[in-house]
Amino acid sequence: MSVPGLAVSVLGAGPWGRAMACILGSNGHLVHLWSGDESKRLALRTERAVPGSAAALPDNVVIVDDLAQALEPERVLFAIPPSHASSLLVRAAPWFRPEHRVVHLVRGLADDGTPMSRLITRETCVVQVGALAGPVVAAALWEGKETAAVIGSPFRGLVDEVCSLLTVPGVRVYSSPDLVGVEVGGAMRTPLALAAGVIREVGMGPAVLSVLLTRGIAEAGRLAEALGGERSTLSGLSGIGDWMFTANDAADAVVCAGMALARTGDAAYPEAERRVRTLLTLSSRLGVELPITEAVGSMLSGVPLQEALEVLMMRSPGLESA
Amino acid sequence: MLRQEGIAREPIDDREVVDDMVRRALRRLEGAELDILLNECCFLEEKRLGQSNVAGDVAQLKRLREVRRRLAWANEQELRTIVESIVRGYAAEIHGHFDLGTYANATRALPAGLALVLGKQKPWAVLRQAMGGESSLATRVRCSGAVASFDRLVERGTCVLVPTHLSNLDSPVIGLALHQAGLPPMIYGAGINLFNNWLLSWFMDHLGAYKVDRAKRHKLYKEVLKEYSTMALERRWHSLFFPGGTRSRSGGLERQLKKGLMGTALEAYQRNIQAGVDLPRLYFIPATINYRLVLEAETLIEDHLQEAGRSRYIITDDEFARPERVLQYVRNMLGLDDPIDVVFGSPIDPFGNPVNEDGDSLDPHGRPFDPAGYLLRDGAFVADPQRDRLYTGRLSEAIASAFARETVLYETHILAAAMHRRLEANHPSLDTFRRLLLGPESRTLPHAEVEAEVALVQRALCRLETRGEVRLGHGLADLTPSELRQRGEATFGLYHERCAVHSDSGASVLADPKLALYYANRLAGYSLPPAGPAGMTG
Repeated sequence: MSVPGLAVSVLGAGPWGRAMACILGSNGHLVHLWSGDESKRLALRTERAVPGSAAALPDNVVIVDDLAQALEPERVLFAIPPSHASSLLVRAAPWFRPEHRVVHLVRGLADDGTPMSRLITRETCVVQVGALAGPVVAAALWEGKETAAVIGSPFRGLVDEVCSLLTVPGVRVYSSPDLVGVEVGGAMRTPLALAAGVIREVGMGPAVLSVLLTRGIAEAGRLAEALGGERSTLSGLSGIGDWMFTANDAADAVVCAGMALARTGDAAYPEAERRVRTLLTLSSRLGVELPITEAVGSMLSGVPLQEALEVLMMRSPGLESA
Repeated sequence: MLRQEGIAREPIDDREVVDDMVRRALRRLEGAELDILLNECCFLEEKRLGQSNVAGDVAQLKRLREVRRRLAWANEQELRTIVESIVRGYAAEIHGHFDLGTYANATRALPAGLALVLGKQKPWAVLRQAMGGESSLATRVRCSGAVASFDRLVERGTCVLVPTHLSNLDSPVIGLALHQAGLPPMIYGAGINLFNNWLLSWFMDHLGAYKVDRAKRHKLYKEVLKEYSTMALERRWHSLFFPGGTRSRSGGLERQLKKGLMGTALEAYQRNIQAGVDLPRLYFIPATINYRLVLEAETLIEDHLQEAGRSRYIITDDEFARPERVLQYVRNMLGLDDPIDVVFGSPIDPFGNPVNEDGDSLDPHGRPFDPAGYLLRDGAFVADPQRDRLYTGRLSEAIASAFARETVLYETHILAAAMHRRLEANHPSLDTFRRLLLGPESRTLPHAEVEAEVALVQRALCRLETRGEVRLGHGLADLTPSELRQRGEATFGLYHERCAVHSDSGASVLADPKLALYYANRLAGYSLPPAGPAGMTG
């Protein structure tokens, strides 16, 4: 049960940030919503629109201009795309305090392959960090469609607090102490969604989709383990749960990009391409094999589907659990 | 000049300390199931004491049996009385007998006393040392690192010195290093077995040592011990403990540290702030104590390698217990230029953040901040043991990293590592244990092959040293591989019963592969390139 009247900061006013601000505001909390884009702040002040919904942002959601004011509350939801996260954290570092508890909603790694939680602790004095992931999209969360999410954090107190803040009818929020595992699940969503789009576009059928997602668990599991996480986390909501949901959603932006990639050879989605390249750089640094991500990466570099598929299929089959 | 800081700040009333300890320990145990605690205590202690023939132990065993007999019928009040009596006994045993006057005299006599205990000194030389003249062992302990920060922080809060632990000589050596650097005395937990040596016991007892009996493994004792540490920190007694728990058996650097006593710092810090004390902050000072040769290396590696050794947590029959070996060790070590390096690392707060010389915690961009916020929620302190364990884990990682950075590697480590890397390259199918069983022919390698490997390791370590990831013994970076090999062989020949590596007809002989492994293990965990190919020569 959410105790109303707490102050929460939401950094980032994209679809996720606004949906979170809306839920928190509706639950009676005072929200400091910050965007780095001045025109967006202006529009939010006047229109107060919530994406995918006719509702407006509640009155207790305050649009703030500067980071000092944005970070006055101790509770922070971080909804900044990975490509901007690093520079923002450096800018915001002077206003972060040790009492801050930060949960990020970022499904991707920083440009250098660092999981977002580690980027936050690397750039600020904050130690209590978590990540929210799972088969949810911002609009569905706000509309209260039945689903479940997971908060990954070793800090039990932080998990309990965020679960309480985000109480929404129809949404179950689970917890996992394996923060890195949860983050890897979110990061692997992009290559798998692109691949799912390709499969959908060329009509490969449900068996291939099934192979993609189950081998995705092994692939992501290897990466999670190399980063200090646990393989088993990828069999949960932040891994297979999220990927199944995304792969079956023909309207998902990344799946659509995968379909475009199969159709035209161009995904036309730079952010998704960047996330795949980050994963590949990281896998090479860690010496971890990510064959599906490599196949998607090669297609993004112009390799035809048939050729990428051949490389993938010619790999010698090993132990399923390896 | 005695630095009247920490435990030397004011006279200690031992009776008041024990009373306070009992009060605190009982408060700590509020809500605990006392009958379960006492049953565990009786069970484990009876088992331990039942194997002893020492008169004191037999009497103690008798008392415990009586306690166990009473337990079955005891009500809550009686349980509390029994606990109080046991806690009082433990508190009195743990608490040392620090005395300012004795400390002043003892520190003046320390270098000489140590030389007398550890070295073959003539009485007149000892007297000359005691009078402040030339000293031998004292001048052989070289202090470096963040001594200035440490010096400032002892006046700005409570310092917890956390050194690496290789030898029983560590306690007197670090005491000497603190004295040399003009730092105040620190209380420190010393294994109760060390108090068997009467002279060392006298020094330790009056220099701030408190007794830790690692054979007592039950919760009640551990809680009293933790409370002693917390109380000491709250009283601003600068403290020292070895976070590795015991001497490194393998010779490797401690990377997994014990967090129990470390966690008491958070408790003390929180209580200090809540009590509004003047200087509430606590600072951890990581330190490494580095030896070219380790007194007990042969016993420790043997213990590490034997399965049975894992249960021999407390070794009482090692080289430290044999005066002739200690004498030989010190006599030969005194012949070296820099036999012992003590390096003080940069200070860290109880949450694992770096600290500047003013005692402020620093964020990753070097900006000072108040770390009390880590314990707050909406402006109030919130008890959260799970959160605190994670903070202590972070501190432990920061200390382990500092250990790696501040470790000094010598010619003995480099040569031993090079020899083992050659064996590994030449016998890739064998694991470590099988390599130790190789015959003398396989363990005899041409100088050219050994020197090529020494060069590889030396280059890699020089690179790491440039990046501040490790330290190399004075002048080692400038030696040629051949000089380094020769120096390594010469140093090995100084003390151990069997020379780990020596030369014979243009080849290096790995005469004691176990002992060499002990020294080679110090390099484990550092990023080194793979060994050169089999049969490699320069």
